[in-house]
Amino acid sequence: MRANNVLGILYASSYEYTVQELSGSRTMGSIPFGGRYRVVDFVLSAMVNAGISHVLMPTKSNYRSLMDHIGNGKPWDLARKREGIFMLPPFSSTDSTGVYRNRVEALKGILGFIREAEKEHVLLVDGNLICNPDFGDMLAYHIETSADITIATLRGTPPRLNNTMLLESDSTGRVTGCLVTAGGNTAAELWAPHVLLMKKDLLVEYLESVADAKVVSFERDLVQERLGELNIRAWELPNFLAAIDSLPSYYKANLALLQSGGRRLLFPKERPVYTKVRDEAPSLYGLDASVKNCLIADGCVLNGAAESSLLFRGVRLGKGTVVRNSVIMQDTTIGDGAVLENVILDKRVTVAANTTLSGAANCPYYVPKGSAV
Amino acid sequence: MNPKRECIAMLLAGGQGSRLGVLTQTIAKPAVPYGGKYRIIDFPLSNCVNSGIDTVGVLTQYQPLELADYLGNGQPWDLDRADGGVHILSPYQQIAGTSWYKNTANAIYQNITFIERYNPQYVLILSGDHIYKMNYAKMLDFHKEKDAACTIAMLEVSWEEASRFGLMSTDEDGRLLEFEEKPKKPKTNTASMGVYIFTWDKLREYLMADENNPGSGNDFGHDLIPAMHSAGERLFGYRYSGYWKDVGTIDSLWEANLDLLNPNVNIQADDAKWRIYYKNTPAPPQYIAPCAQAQNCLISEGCEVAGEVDYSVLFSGVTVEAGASVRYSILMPGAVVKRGARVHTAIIAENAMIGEGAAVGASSEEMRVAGRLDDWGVCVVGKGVTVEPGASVAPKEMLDADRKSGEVR
Repeated sequence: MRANNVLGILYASSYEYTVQELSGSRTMGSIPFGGRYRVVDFVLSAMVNAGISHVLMPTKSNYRSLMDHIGNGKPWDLARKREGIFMLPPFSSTDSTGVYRNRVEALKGILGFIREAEKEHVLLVDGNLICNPDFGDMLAYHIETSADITIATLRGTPPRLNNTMLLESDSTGRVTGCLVTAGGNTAAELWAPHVLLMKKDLLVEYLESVADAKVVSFERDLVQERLGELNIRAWELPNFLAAIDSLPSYYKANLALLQSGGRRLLFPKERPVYTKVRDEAPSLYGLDASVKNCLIADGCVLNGAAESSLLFRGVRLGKGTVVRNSVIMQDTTIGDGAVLENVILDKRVTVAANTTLSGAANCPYYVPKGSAV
Repeated sequence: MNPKRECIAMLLAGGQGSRLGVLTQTIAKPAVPYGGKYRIIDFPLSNCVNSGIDTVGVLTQYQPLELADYLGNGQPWDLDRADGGVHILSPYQQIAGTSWYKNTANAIYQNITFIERYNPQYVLILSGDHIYKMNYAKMLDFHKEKDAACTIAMLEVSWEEASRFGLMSTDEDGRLLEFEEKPKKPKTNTASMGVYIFTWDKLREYLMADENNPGSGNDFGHDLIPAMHSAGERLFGYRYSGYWKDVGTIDSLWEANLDLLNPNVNIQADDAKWRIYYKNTPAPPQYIAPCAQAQNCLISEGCEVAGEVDYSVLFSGVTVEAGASVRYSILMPGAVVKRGARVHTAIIAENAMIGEGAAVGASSEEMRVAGRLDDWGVCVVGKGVTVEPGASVAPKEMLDADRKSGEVR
């Protein structure tokens, strides 16, 4: 189903405090991921592929890299005269700095934009989710069940994130129970990554009714307390890779793309993932290159060995280097003979020749953006 | 009326490129894929933009659909301008009758109205057949400094190839002494690159005269430039010394692709200061499997490689399955090489499929051993063609229909 009657709202800053290393100079949405993408690209592309052409993206702080990445929205075909993408940084006024503390405050801050959008439904998605679902299917289910709110759900262990909803539903898919928790290893059948489709009027009405946004909770007020009154439905997400809740989970989600199953989840042929174009040349494999089980972006020059790793655009791998189980971000240069294992190198890192860096498989060693090692 | 331009470019992209055979059956030559990411036309277009030229007329005639589609509004080259930008110029009906572009000079003649809308002082004439990186702004400086009517870019080619080109001799100052289009017995190996800058007033004058001359073939190299030369106009040669390759034949297209792998050839496409822009198709990063072996090759996004790839160029979305081998070959977007197939010295066009265990092409060594070295050469599998499992394609062969198992040419 074409979702052109849906307004997309994608929070750019969700849970960025959980990966402070990576979000030191950027938002959650602009953290590099998957070899050539930023975290935001996946959900944004899924929205566009479903026919959503009007997207609001509230941001909080450190949003310059995201602004640079999104630009006018052209790569996602969201540079439009009608609708398109709107990045919405905090808007300060005499009584507020505009910097919000929770979801409700964030939404209240952009209420005017929500109200003005000529759409019947709103799709709200957290910015730390790596998935590429068919939102058209979600909308079809939402309409078929005449739901007020449709909540995407998953089975298994929820991530360690505040305001994670654990749900119960009946055989028809109607949500009958909701517990708002801090996530982590709590036993639950169903949990909800924050992907909600709801009637726009319902959202606007709620936001208008909130007097003090600091003290309210979106999950409690709109879901938990209104289960009897509203028709709230659970829709199982058929396609999900990860919710980033820590540096190890970020690392693990990247390496999951080395499995063909992981790649299929995120890169289905019918739903391409768009990103900002860099006009890189193809990657050059030298005479001494030995690359096994790697995901490699364009613009790399490879003269060493890489195994079970992700190399972003423009990575230079010197002669005799060995890179294993690592995530190497764009424009990083690794000197001859360096040995790296279980590391995350941020953008534009320079590793001197014959350096050895290693982390543990469950706790990767992180090197910040631009550093020389 | 648009604001005045100092220099605009006219890119001749109407040629069929018949020597490229199956590769240009349904597309114009400038739209032929090159270098793992690009199409030939990306080079002159990017050169224009990098040289500060923001208005480019692209003259199309033969199979323009894919080329026009590719160029779109010019956005990938930053040529989606409020004023100027890229314009596709096809032949059109006029009161006086309908005519195709008869030849290069006639194509420009038919678009005088377009050029005059920009009221340029100079016009750069380019073709969409060559791979090179050149700063046209420097050539324009030279043109102005010499107060020339026409400046022709030239470079040295090998003596064996010389007779394929327009050959030029110049004096110490660069002034043209002699110009001979494709002579049988070359006296020099300095060749015209088919890149001209004209002072517009002069070009206009000679285009008019050329059109009114019933004996003229309406070609720049054969007619217009010799006419200007014999009339005593100030014609100059501008020396260029970087990489330049005419990719008009299967062999030269194959070579030009493999040149990208040669560290001694100066055509690195990733030069940040002189980037070659292209229209991007979204694809995930390339995946190189644990059993793959990839050395000395260029691989693009969207590829899945599990077999052996050596000395080859893989365009976006190519699959090489486990146990397959690809050597000295060019695999265009979407080509698939199935398990156990072997591809050597070949160009596999877009979305072609090489079936399990098939053999496409051969190495020169194998052919030498078989005493058939004369039959060795690049073979081509056309767009969307399937080579069925176990079937074979001989060196130098050009396949434009599916090859059945057990069928031999």
